[in-house]
Amino acid sequence: MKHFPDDIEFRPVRAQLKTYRQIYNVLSMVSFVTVFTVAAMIFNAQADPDFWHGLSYIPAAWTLVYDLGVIILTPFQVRVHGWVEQSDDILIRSGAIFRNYEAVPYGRLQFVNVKQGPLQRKFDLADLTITTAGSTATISGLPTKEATRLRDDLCSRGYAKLAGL
Amino acid sequence: MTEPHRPAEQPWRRVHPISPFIRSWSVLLIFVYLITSFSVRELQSFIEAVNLSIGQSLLIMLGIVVATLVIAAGVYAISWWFYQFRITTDAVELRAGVIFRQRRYMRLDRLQAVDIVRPFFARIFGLSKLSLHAADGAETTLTLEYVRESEAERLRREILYLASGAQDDPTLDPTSASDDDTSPAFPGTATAVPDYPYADYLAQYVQHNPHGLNQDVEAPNQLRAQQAKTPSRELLTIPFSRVVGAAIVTGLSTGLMTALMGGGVTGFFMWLGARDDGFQAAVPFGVLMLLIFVGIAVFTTLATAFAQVNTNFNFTARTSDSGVRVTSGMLSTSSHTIPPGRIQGIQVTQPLMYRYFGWYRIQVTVAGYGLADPSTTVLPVGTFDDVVMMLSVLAPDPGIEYASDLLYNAMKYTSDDDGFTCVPARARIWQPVAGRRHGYRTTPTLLLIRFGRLRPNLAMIPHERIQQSAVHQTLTDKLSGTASARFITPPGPVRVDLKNQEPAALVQLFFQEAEIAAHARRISDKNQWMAPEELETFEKAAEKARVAGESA
Repeated sequence: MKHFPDDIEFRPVRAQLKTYRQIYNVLSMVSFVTVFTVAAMIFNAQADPDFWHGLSYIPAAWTLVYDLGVIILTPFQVRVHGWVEQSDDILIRSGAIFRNYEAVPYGRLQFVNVKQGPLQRKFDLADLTITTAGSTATISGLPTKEATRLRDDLCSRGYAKLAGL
Repeated sequence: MTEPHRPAEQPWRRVHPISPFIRSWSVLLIFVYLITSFSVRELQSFIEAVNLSIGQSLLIMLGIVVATLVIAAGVYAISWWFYQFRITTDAVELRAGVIFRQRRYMRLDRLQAVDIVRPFFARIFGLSKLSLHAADGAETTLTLEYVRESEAERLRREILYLASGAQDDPTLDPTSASDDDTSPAFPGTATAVPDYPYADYLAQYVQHNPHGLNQDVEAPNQLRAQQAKTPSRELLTIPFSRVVGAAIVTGLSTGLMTALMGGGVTGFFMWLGARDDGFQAAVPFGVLMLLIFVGIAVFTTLATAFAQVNTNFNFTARTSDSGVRVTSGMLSTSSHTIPPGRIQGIQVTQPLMYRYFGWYRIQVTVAGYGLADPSTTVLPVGTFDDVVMMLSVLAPDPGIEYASDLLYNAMKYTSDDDGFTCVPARARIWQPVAGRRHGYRTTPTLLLIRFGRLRPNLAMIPHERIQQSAVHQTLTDKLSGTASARFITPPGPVRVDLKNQEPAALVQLFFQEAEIAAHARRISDKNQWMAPEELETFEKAAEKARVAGESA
């Protein structure tokens, strides 16, 4: 979005998020494609092979194409993903092709959640989810220390600027 | 309750003794049916085995029934005894259950709306159900079932009075009978605007909304004195003819949908049968289908129409100190009270079938109601004048002169002749019909978003109610160089998304809204809509947080 002002300095998330996401993507691609292919083969083995039975491979093919696309896009997505703490709100940027900017005023936040899975812990990554009364906003791939710092900061600022509903 | 300071320790109260029966009468009916049918069958074999006389067997039968009733009564008595509630100065508490204990605690400053509902069966006994909606979604509703109608009214008034934070001021007590109007003349409205960021915007806000910033910040005491004891005022009643008309129209449209679907299916079967090699039974089968679908269509029409009449019968809206109050219903009646400052968004729509008659519908987003609650509709069918009248109470001052003109244009015209933006010509292909009408406009107090050509729809969101905002690009935006945005309020029926707009202007709007939302607390503080100390506590909390942040 070229109309978005470019003088806002977004802080990038950890580069290891790329590695983590790619491991995740490859694992999910391999397992889903395998499952769908095996299912299609079993289905085809039940009846006489016919031209239309080729259609049963569509789920596997679609998963493969989609996941390949995700794998290609992931480095760009990680590079774009970032946040900036402004004086009154936090601004989050995400999306490589379909860019998304989200602003959450500190006074609106209901609670802040930091989440970390076993693989994420390996790479020192954490997901921070901010919940308001309307919806949520997520920053993924923060260093654990930064995530806890941000959580405490957001909470104290949220209390100071408390706006409720 | 009449003394200014309520004692902190309130006694526990109980609901009406008959209420466990009303809560579970359908279950009881099934239970009784099962017991009797079972025992009759058992009895028959028993009689055959032991050779009892008719009188003896009847006696045994009666004994079983009586025993069941006694057990049921005992269970009911226990359940009634342990279903207790109390209202303290800052919360409503409910505890129920013997084996599975349930304890609910609802803070009054989180109160979003109060409903009194009288289901048909409870109404026979003159009882009502009181629902208190909290800010955290539909699951957090606290329901007191059932209390007498007068008791429900009294509880509603008491809860709203306590929630307003006005209990320290005896002149505001709804139960005290003083009628003298002691309010001093309102001090000059030309007080200087406090030095907040975004001051010029706020200046307009203050100028056009004298009940907003000025009084809350500058002169809370005068505000309270002035607002004291505003008599309740009736806004509008929907005439019975219009209720029936709208019901018929809505019923017909539902029925027509069903009929169309039926026609399609029938046509398909006719076509199957008409083919040379077709299967011959298809034509009679199709006719049968048609008859069935016509039957269903007639039934849905009648059912929908009746349900509408039942809900909207005698629809009345009034306004008072404790907010907007809407009552309606024929067989089962309901009454909803929404305290001031609880409305997160308003939407005026004109369904396709209403267009010919010039009718409109108003829905609101209230945090406690959620998405699908029927009580979000605060005006089911009204003329344009009714809409303006309701909006004068629901929405804050729109901040411009001739607000009704703005509303009229927004509902009727396209952006060529009013202040709304529209989908730019290069992106019109994605919204061929509604494109010229889909857009936004801001006033000092409201963000207005307009949708649809066949079913005009206008969403109004007070700037300070926007929780979170996002600007993004979808595939269609990417292709035509436009942008989309969402201004998120708590979940509700009001649509809050903008699609395919001019990106530069939209980004500007995004930053404006983000900035206003950031200062929202300064503008409107309505947790306890009458307590002046509310703002002071906030300032203290802010100071404490700042000091804590510095020392850390």
